[in-house]
Amino acid sequence: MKPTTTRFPLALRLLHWLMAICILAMLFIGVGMVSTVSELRTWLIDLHKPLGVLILCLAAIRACIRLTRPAPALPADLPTVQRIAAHLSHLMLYALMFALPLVGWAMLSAGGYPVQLFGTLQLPPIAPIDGPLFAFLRQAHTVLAMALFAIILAHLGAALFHAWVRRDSVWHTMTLGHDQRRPPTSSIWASRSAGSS
Amino acid sequence: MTRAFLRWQQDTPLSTSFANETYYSINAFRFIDDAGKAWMVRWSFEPETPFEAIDKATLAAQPANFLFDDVIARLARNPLRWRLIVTIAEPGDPTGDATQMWPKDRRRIDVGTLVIDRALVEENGDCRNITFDPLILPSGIAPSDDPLLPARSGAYASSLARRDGEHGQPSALARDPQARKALP
Repeated sequence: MKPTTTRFPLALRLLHWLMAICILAMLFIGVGMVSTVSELRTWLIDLHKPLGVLILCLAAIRACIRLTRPAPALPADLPTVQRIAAHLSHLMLYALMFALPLVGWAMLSAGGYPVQLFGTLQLPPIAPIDGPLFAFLRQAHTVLAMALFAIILAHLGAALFHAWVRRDSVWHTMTLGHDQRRPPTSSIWASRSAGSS
Repeated sequence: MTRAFLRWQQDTPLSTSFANETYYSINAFRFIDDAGKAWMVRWSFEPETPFEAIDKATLAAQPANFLFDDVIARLARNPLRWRLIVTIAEPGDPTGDATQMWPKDRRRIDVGTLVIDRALVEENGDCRNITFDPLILPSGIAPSDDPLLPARSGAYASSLARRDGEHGQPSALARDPQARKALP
């Protein structure tokens, strides 16, 4: 236990889990809607656009909190490679949380598609109508989404590695309940989880 | 369905020009009136230029771009006009199947005129980079239950991305010095 902060601020933890649900849903909605030409396509696209804008707004709030409030330090004994990987992956996660909605928005603008949210509420275009630009952004949106998916899997893998293998302080910096590392709850939870994996 | 189409193709006379042809929405759409009531409709652009038929032998003897040359020549003389005709479905008319015709006696409303007064080649025209997505609709017009609409939307989006993602040749018309000269 360190005298400095041991967990992220509650608002940031809430945003983390809320956005985790939104982003995971979004990745599957995205893959789903381009994989079908049925009515489901329209339905999923109508969900994809407002959800993307919501994620962009949440990402902005989250970045503000992250930059202005103290964050818990990584365990002192964490190898340098893992330390670098942690910082880099977090940076990329933040970058992609902004980049994907913005690329999507610009892509729709370049293709001449309206960015319809709810009913008649519409966002203004942020790029000129330009076919080659649309083609480029359309491809970029897919590639970045796949990259985000891969980094999320690595992020999840790393988080579980901290929780179950290293059993260090990292997992609890982001959990919502009581800090279960405080005895005696921590040992029961950690051993049970490790045993079931 | 294919048989019906082939029969239609065989029996329907071909027009001599783009200018005297009727253009159909194919799919049904919902038109919403001021009171918020939705009407299931199909629309068509019917030419003011009288229809003239061309037989297949005459057609075969025409140069490849003759339809474009013809419309450019006509536009140099006069604007071309079409009436926008909205056909309203009765309850029970198939709105989710574009291959089914509606009975001929359905109410038709003449709602406006389309005037085309100039032609441009694709390269520098206003129609460049537009995807004619049938789901990009103005307020007051909404999609019907026709499953072809999302299918067209998806296919056109994919087509736009692929087409504009490569550096294609200029269109045949833009490469045709004769046609270019005729354009305003």
